[in-house]
Amino acid sequence: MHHKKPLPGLLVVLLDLLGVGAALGIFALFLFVIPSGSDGPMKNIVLFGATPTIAVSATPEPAVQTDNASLATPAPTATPSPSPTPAPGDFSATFPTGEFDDEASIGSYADENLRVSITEHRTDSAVYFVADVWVRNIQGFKTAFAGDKYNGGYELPSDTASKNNAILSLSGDCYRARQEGIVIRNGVLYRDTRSGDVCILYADGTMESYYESEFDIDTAVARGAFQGWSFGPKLIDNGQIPASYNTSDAIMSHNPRAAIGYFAPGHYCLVYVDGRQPDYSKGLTMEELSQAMIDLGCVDAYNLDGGQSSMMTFQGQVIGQPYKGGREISDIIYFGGNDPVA
Amino acid sequence: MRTFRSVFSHLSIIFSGMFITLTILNQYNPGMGFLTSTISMVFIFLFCLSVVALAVATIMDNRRYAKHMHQRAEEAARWKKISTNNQRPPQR
Repeated sequence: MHHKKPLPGLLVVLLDLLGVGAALGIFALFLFVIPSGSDGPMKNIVLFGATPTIAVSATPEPAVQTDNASLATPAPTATPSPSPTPAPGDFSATFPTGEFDDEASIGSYADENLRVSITEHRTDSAVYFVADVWVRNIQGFKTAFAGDKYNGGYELPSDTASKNNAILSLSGDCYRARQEGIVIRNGVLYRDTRSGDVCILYADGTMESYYESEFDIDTAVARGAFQGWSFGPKLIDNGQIPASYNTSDAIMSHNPRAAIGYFAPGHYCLVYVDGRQPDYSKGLTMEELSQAMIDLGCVDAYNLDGGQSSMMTFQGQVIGQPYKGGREISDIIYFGGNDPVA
Repeated sequence: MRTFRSVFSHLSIIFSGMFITLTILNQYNPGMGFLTSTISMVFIFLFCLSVVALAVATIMDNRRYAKHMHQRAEEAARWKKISTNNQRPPQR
């Protein structure tokens, strides 16, 4: 019997390593480039007429649904049930007017529907920027997808902001990097599977963050969820720094950050933290970020995608020094500019 | 069978290497779902299949080898017996 001469051992090891690389490539292709989820909306939650109404059941059928989605989404009823208390979403009564009185502001903007004031803050280890935002109407709190549609790809946050003529923008939760996690944008539910802590902005202007275990999508939809993010963790627990965070140790350490805070309906803050630049700013730990949000007076706060992904723009200019100039992500939060297209 | 075992051995090494990498990445950013996404589940399933196939092939090979060795031992014993019977008595 003729036996083939075996390949040299080193070559076999190299071929196996090549195989590992190829397998990781295929994995990354399916995880990041060809997400298997739906490309269309699952449900319209909030419809805007003269006043916003919650459209729990009078919604079109989703174009395509994942198995998980069809399991987790309640079937629409035959007759639309009356919506719960209409969410006003109009904050004219509390919307401030007049001149800005914050002398520390490094940039401000005001029109009849939006007021933004940006301040720079420094700690021993970090430089961060806080955008204090007032909107007259909940529709002024907008989000946009890269590529102008759900699962539309990746863009630098500054590019997405420019396309939408945003006055102020902040990198979002980069929903497309995961196949699970709540995605609600501009009153439309795109994904209803949980993955980590959740933050929901309701059509009445209230914002609440939830631990993963305590979040219920049906309740949130019935309350009129207007925007929903899945990244986390939740940064404030009953006015205090949480006892523990639903994230890994690596994310807890000093890092660039993006976070959103809530003061009252119509009044929010976006926080951007520079980091990973030892001579300038190392970034904030998660506890430091929680403390910063509490010190700002936030009632609730939520951590968004940080690291190289985090970026804030104001009137077309990038704020601070994003780590390595930022990276392409799938979504932003923005104020002013165009109405959302997706 | 040898080719079959060789293929599944390499597949197991490749999947193991892949999941070692993903486990390390997951420590840094669990939010990316490196170990919990649908595609991860598919790869874990394929990994399990390749390991089961390799294990079955190895067990079958081991059993066949043990059977072969047993047969050889029996045959050797039989030959030993025959040769002992055929042995001429020692010369005095």
